[in-house]
Amino acid sequence: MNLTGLDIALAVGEIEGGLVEAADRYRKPRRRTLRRIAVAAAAAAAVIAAALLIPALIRGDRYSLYYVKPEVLGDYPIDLSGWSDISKFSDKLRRRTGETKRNEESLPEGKKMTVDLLGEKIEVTSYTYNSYYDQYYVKNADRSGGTLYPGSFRVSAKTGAVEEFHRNIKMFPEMAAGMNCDIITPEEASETAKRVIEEILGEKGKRLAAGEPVLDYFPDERDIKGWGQVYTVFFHNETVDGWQLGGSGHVYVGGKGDIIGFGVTALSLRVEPDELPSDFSDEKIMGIIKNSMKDPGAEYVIEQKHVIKELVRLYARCYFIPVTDGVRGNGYSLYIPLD
Amino acid sequence: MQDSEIVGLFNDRDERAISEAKSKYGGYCLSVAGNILGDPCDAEECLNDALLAAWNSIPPGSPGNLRTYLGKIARRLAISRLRERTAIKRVPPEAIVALEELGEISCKDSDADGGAGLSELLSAFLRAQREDDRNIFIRRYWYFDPVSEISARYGFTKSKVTVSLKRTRDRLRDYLRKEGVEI
Repeated sequence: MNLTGLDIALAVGEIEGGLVEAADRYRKPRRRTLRRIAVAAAAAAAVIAAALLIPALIRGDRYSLYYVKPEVLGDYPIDLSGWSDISKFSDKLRRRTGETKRNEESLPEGKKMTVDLLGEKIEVTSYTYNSYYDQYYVKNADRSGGTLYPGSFRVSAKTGAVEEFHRNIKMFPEMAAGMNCDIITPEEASETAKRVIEEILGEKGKRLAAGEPVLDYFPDERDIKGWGQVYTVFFHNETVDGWQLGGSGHVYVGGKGDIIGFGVTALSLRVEPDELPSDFSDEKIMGIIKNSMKDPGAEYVIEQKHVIKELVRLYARCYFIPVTDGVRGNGYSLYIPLD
Repeated sequence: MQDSEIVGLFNDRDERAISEAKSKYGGYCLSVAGNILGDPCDAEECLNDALLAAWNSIPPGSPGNLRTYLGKIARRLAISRLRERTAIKRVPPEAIVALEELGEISCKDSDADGGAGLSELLSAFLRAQREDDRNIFIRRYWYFDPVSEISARYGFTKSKVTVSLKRTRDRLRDYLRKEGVEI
């Protein structure tokens, strides 16, 4: 039988554990020095960026958010080489906010959804939307059936049909008719989110001042109805001299159509210097995304209240992210006007 | 919690073993599976399956290094899932590239034990390689790290990493041929 790359990859997976551990531990000593230099350079760049940006903010230049519809991003191939950055980013964020457990995908404490699957009630504690697959990813923390771990299933955002399910969920595609998730479409969520974002940040409303409380916008006593991706962030990466898609976010929209939570997507989009646009027109931005988009569905959802607060501070005060944060620490953000 | 204590929980059939293992090594397994699958939801499911597999295999299994043990399971499950994804064209490009590189070796399986013999040969081959080359190979084909990440991790240029991988694959092909594997 001819072995394919997959077969050989499987065989590689069974090599001695000691070799794998050694590769994991191994570091080139000189890299530490390089890292120190890089950190120092990044810090210097951050100070320069702050000096450049803050006067512009004082002048009242418009820095806003760019709204990218999920369906626009949905058709492009994925490359999650930046995946490992997601956990690094979130780990750092958690450390800074005192959060230690990996429960970012839980709904706010005490909140649960019940999914009715042909009479079988399943309590759902979390769901996210994956714009690449155009599916809702629904997690179930119920240990019914003697299983030891949460199960999950996926629902088409277009049809509401269950398209995939993880094995400990007792359900079949024809059970989709029994779904009672009360999920709104991404478009509905996005439109609502956009409106509220405009109220918070746009010209119709006021821009939050530093330190101004924002959690009034995120009461956690309402039912979550859905969420949509609302903005995408680019920042300049000094190290590679390229523009990087540093993160995108989505909001959770409550039953009354208002935002009740933020999620963040940490992506890593590298753009070669010769692709750097001289202006950020819609066409050029979408061209970059189409050419280089990493997985737009790589959600890393953070819903704890104090983390939300932190994120809102980071994103609502976007211009402070890279220069004071240290999480990114390697450039500055450019927020693109809402379309 | 120490690995030995977590393994003890598995042995005692205490379900806390799952949560402790997930808390300590969940991120690692997610990273391993995520590199291969390119999708956090898939990776999460692989992690869940890996934990269940660990529950079913310990005892009698008694891993000396729980991290690698779980990582291996997650990796195997992720590749299995990747095979399914290939059929429906949901494969991240990075994984495709790595698999195509491995596919260059394109040997024939003469073993009846499903490739266990090939793994032993691979281990022996890797042990004989220079440390840098060996680690680069493992980061690329065990962890499916992109070349850029390997170069950043080890402080090498991308071209050094690429050349090292190419030469190691060539040496591996020669080695397998010498060991009687039909190429």
